Amino acid sequence: MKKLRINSFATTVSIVVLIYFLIVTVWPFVYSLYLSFFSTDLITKQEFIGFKNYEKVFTNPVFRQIITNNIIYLAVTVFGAIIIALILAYNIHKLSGWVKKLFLGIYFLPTITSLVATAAIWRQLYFPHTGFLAQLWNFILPIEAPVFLRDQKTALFSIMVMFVWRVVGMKMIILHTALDEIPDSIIDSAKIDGAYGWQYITKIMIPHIRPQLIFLFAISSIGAIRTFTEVYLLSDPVGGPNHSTEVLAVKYLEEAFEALRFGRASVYAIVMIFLLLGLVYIIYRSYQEKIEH
Amino acid sequence: MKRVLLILLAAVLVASMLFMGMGCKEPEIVVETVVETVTETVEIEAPTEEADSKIPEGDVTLDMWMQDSSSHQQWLNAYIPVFEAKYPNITINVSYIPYGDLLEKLLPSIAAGDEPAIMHGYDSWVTAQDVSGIFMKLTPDLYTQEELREKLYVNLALDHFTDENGDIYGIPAWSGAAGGVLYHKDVVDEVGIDMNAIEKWEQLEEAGKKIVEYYNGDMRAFWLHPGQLGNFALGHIYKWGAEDKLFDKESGVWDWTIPESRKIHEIMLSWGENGLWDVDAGDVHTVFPTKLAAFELTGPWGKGFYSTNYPELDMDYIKMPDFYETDGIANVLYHHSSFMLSSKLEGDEKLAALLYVREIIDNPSFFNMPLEGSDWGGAINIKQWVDYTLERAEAGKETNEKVITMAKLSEDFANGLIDSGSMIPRGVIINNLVKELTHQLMRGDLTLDEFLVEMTTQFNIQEADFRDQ
Repeated sequence: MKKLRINSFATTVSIVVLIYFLIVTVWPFVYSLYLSFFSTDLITKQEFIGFKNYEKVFTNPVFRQIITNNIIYLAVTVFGAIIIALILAYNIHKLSGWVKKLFLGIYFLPTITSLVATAAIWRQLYFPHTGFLAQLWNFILPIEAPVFLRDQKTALFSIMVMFVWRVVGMKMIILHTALDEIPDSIIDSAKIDGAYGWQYITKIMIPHIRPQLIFLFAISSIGAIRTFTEVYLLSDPVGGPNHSTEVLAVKYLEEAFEALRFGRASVYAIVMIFLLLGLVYIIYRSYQEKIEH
Repeated sequence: MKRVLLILLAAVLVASMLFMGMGCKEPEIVVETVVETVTETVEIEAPTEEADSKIPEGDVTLDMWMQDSSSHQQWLNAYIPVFEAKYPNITINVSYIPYGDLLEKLLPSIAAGDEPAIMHGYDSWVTAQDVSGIFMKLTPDLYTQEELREKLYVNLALDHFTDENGDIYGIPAWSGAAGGVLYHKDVVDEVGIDMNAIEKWEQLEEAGKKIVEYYNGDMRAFWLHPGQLGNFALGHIYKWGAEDKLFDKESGVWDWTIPESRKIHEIMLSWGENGLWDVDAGDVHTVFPTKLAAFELTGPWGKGFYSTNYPELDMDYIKMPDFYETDGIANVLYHHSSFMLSSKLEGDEKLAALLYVREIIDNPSFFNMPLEGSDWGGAINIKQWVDYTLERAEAGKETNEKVITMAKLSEDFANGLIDSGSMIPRGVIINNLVKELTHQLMRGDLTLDEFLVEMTTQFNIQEADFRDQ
């Protein structure tokens, strides 16, 4: 009787979540797929045009730039943030007492700051000529500071720097906790066997925190493909100079709400979904390999 | 120890919230004073018998979305009480929304079916749309097609709200795109420049060179608001009579490599070489207030914006000087602040909404409201208001210089409007094309030849795209 009650409750909750998932996730995907075959502004017209939207998108010279931007963003922010977080976690792990807590708190602060407020401050920092970073650059280096957000060579990198600064704290906390969980016996054995420095890191530490690394890689990669807010807030114009910061989500916004081409916007959404599905599959396979090992 | 730390943290949080509250400035919108002024000047007439049939009988509440610029807010905060006093059974609930959010919110809300009764937007947002499926048809309920075209100054703007049968779906009421030159009075006084004597762009450029020389390059001459930058080269090319060479309306083909285009961009390049203009000086809302530039090319709304947000600035405004090597100016990338009504309104709600718009058109003194306390922001498109004000000025009854200037500006603006015939939305031309590529040119990322070819390529891609929709 008790077992039945638990199963009914679990079933009910699962059904509720499933319905929510169908409405909030599956239905928008299906509807986007449907719209992608139409020329529509959702108000006055909806004309079936087959694969014409896909042709327009894939033959648009900017599309390649957009995908490249997303991949660069993924590579730099994911690996960059995780590596920096790991270095910080490793060093803070060696501290103790209030000093350790102080540093944990300081590095975590950017994570809990409002993204909009952060973007506004970083825009000021990146101001050409008069911004703090430009003045610091000109003070230290003999060459003229770049215009950061307005130069196509530096715009995307400038946004990625802000993003990494903001997210590294959360990753550091997770990795620090993972390092705490490495058994002392393992650490002691490693020391006895002469495993120090780089050997310790690669042979002992990283294998033990691999699940957390895969988890961080997974959520960070998904976030990088879906990135929108920081790019939208910092780019001037939207999409950056010469499309240098244009990413899939931003292009979707431009197509949908500025040009009112919801059909074409849906194509960008579909591309994003398939990229995410591919990424999830790779991550899933990584987990499967770990289980098999 | 932990408890002490927690109490300290709580105290710091509360203190910081208190200080933030103390530091916030209340917006200085003195509605009471403005309303008092209005009751002196506005003759509130009792509804006539003819008008009775167009007045709703029951109580009606209408929702309205309005752009949140300071001049819009001040005007509407004054207009609504007077309108509601005249029609006590009608209540207007207005929500102020930033320009960017309004653009992204308006048409999707119509698609979703939850748009407000009265909408404020811009005619340029619907240039490529079939307006008959979006907004309420205003003719003949409001006026006939002929009457409405007679009452509004600029019929080109009305065309954006007109369907293939000639029916009209929106009222373009005023335009902040009328360009002029906002300047720091203290700066020009110090350098010894008489701004009122400037009638030609050649004179403005000379004044700019004086300023750059006086301040040893620490202050630039010009900052161009994106809308004015977007119109500058286009306006010159049109004014020099090369519009047909630049753009073929029939085929939709652009050619920016024509000699006139090269000429105006060479002039702009010379600004950069002479230190008059630095495209990377900063942000559109910080360069002028921080005096990184002495002049900002902007609409008159710019003066209202800066005087509200930076009241310490000593500044004034002149209308746009005549373009280089010609008389007059041309406004190709204009757009109008417009009122549209929801197509879902029926019965008393529909009557009330139509009445609201009719009063704006027929009661010209309503536009005088906020000018006593603020700077208004546009060329008024309502002919009755312009004629009414100029007649009063001539008779000595209108002595407010701002009001008179605005009426004269309205006439000039209307005469200088040109319809390019392009299907590319104004915002795309300004932000994604002209500003983007001109900045690359000024920065040296593109040579002039590369720039002209790239402009041609990008404009043609966009034109083909929007014509294909």
